[in-house]
Amino acid sequence: MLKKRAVPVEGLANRINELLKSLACQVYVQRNRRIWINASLKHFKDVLSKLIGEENFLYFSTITAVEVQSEYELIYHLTFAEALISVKVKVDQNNAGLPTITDLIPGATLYEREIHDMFGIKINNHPDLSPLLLPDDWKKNVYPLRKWWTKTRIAKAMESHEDRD
Amino acid sequence: MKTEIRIPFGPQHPDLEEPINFMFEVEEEYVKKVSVRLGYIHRGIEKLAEERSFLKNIYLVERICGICSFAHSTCYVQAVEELLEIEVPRRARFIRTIIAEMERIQNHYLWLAFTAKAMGFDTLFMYSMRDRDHILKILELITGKRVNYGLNTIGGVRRDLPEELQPEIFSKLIYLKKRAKKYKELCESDPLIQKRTKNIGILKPKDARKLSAVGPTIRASGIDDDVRSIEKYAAYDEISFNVITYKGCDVFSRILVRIDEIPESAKIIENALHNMPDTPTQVKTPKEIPKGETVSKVEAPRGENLHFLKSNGTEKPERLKIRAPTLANLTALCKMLEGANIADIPVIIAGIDPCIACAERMIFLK
Repeated sequence: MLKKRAVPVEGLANRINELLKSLACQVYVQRNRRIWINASLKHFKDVLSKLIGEENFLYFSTITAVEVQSEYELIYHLTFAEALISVKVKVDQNNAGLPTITDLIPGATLYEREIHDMFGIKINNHPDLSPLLLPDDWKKNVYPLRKWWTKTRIAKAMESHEDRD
Repeated sequence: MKTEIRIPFGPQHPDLEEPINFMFEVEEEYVKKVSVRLGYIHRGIEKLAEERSFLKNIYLVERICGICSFAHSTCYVQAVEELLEIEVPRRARFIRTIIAEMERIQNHYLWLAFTAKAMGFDTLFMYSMRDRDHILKILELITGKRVNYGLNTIGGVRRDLPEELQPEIFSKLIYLKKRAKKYKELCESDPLIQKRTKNIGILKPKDARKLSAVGPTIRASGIDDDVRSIEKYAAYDEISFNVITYKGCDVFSRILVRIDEIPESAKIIENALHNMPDTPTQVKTPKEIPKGETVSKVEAPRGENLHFLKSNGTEKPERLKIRAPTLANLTALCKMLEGANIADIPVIIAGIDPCIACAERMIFLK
């Protein structure tokens, strides 16, 4: 059983290249067991839906959000039998948001809520975006994991909040 | 006429070890809908990690959770080592494997104790806690502490595993295996345990996949996902082991999976001790970490643990993202609770081995 899973990563990379040909995305192999895909905001959902249809797809791991200069990068981690595939999407700071993937992967509900809480990235059509981790009386537009919100700034924002009550 | 009632469960509840809030919509005796709310023990770890050096962060991530601290620190140092492109000495990889498996054994005994408590079986709780102390003692002998071992460092492990401890480790492992066998017999024959756990908290394999459950939770639904066998990190490429699965999809199967994992972990430890290579335990590493991003995964006692690390070429990381297994299992837990009898709620929640401190990591310490 363990041997069955020890398949070299190139086979999967080639298959994925073939699969995503029409969607204009870059596929590159970082090392054994790690594949990265750069996808556009327009196409990333098609990329994900094609990937989860693949036969060796196991489960959806998580979503990482990273702030890169004036943009956000969302990374969707998908676990396959041969490798971990990470799909990168760029969202700009103007924040038009991006569509939810919960219709494709119901298991992503909490991860999307976490990103919405921490980075303030809009997730369109998500069934329930109520705060998951931040307190109910958390000040609006304070997104703790954004780089601009340093510890002092957050403390200040929360203080003025307390005065108001 | 049937009316729906909303019942809050937690954040403070005698059956919860850690604060979490579930809101149940209940019709008669049955749960109709569940929503979950976290945030009661959120401590700012992801934000703090961005302000500390790579080395200091090892000790920070270790404090995410007291029970699976070693899984977190292993996951983190693996990510840093990958950025540095260094090869960890084989002996260090073996020691990491041994401690990780000991942590799994202590976690499973602790879990068995709390699940027994949730079922109302306090005698089993006492026995299981007593046995857990044996493995904690060994961990203390090797690392100097019972929790948060402080053993991992970038490029290896900080302490060697002395040869003269081996006889004691072997004898304790024999005892723990014997106890695990006994508990399995007990679970299979005791009518109380069977009534409280069989066909309770059903998670069908199809749902488990869709809701991306991990660890023993998905293995109890008959799917053999195990990061140890998929990723083959540390020394798992050299040591063979079986992935335990059960097909019951209920809390009873989750008990059996965990009890069966105890002797399997003991076997891995014995195997690793017999084949310990004689290399140094640590290599010197540069202070500055090159630019880059990487994803590291390990199998924590509760399931897949994932760390994403991005470095910008300075002494501090640009971003550290942590996804602990409990967060992955919470959606599946909500599914299990739908349709459950109110009396079964505590045992179903205990069934996924929730660790809320892991699932949350970030709020501000003023």
